[in-house]
Amino acid sequence: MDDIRRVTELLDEGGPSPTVAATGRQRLDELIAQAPTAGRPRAGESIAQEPAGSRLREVPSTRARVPRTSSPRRRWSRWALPGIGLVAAGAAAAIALTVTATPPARPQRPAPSETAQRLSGREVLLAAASSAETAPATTGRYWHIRWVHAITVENASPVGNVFETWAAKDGWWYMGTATLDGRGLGLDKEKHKNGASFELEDRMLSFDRLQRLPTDARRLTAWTRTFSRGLNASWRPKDVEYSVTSTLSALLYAVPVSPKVRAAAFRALAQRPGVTTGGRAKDVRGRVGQAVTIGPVRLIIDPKTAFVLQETTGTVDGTKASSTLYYEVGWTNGKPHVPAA
Amino acid sequence: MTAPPGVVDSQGDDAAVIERSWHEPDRFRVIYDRYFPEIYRYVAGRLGRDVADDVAAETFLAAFRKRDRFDPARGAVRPWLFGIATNLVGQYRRDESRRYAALARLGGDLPGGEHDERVAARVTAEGIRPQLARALAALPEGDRDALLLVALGGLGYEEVAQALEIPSGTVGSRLSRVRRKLREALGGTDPTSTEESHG
Repeated sequence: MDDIRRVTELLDEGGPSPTVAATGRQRLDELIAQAPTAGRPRAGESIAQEPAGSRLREVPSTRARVPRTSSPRRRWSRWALPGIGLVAAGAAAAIALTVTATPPARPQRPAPSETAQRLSGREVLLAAASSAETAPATTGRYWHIRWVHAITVENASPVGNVFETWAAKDGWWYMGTATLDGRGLGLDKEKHKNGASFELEDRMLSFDRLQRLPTDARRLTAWTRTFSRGLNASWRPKDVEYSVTSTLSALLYAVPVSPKVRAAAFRALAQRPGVTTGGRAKDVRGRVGQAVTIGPVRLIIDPKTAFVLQETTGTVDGTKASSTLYYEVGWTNGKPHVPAA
Repeated sequence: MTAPPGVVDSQGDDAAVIERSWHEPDRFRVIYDRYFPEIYRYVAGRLGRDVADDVAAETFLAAFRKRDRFDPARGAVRPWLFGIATNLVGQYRRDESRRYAALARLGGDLPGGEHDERVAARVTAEGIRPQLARALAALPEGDRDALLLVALGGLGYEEVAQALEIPSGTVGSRLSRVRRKLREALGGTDPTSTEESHG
């Protein structure tokens, strides 16, 4: 079976992330809801397998446990992602998407008159680095992120979910999902060994490891390069470099790092190839920030607070776009729960 | 590449779930939760993760739409789903070819000084990658389906037969032919040779 094993090794891309699984489940739910007798289990019938008919699902921890061993990159931004997405495929594989540095969400690009003093992309990132550096270090029970991920395909209503994750230093990890209109879908939880409950590009790291990250931009880039190489053995150097950019960007919000490391991540991003500015921009929610394109990723950042408001990726022709809006990122002592509207 | 716990024991149960989902569509979620990870892994291995995000989900939408045509007499639910996924993958033939072409490319854009830092496993993988990817690209479609249902889906011969709706004897002959080709492509004796690996 050695030859078959080699084929497996060559092609294996790993399993789905929780986010991809949740998005697919929601698409199925929508189809089920259109079916004639959806959601009405007859009285007296056992529903041991599944709380059928119940929209609010408390999901047992054993369900939806997806393989996390070999699935690189953060998945919620990847569905229609040029560049980074292509990395997984080994290069220009798959999809009719073409790598581009052009942000897909052109309507959000403000008219030049709105930006009297237009900062360069690097200046925006360096300003954010200064803000990040002076921010006080914080802590709490859970590293908590609340975000909305929406995929827009032309001529169709957006598909997406509200997500919240809570990661504790003891290894517990929770993810709550809700529909875009605020209908709670469930709360998953998992216990990770050795406290590795912090997800960076689909890889689980411990709090201790994150505290040992370099605070120097150049050394942090080198660390992410080593990290990226470890994500997928079959990546070419070009693929690894894409992953370096996306990992640095993920360090801005996905995991708890010290203010100095966060500042270093901003500085390192400023040194990545293909940094351009989109000027002052509003995110989908109307929050104002500065748009910066770094290779295939477009971020809207509030340079004053160094908060990443939105990340957008999409196709050249604008038929598909994937947007992630960050609502809350930081430590909390609040209990994990099914997201509400 | 192994089936998730419970799959073997739940085969009969799977069919019952499908049947009940005829009148109670919500039931079908059980099928999704049980099989989405492995269907995803199979599709992602053939088309890459980006396309898999969409195609793996589409597999379950298609399965749901034709759940009334599932016939337990012709096989279990798991191979039925893999068969639907394989049909969908077939609509992305160009994407799949491009993926093999990409995997076959080597070394051309290695920046200087990278070689020493690369781990041995990676060098080994790159050493056989072009030959293997080219061999996969050259396989007849039916042969490749059978091979990848085993290599990526973890299906047994009988399940492959059910997924592709062919006799299991045909699966056996396809697979032995495929494996002979793969061994030839890998040079037969020392497939881990790295002499060509740095382009």
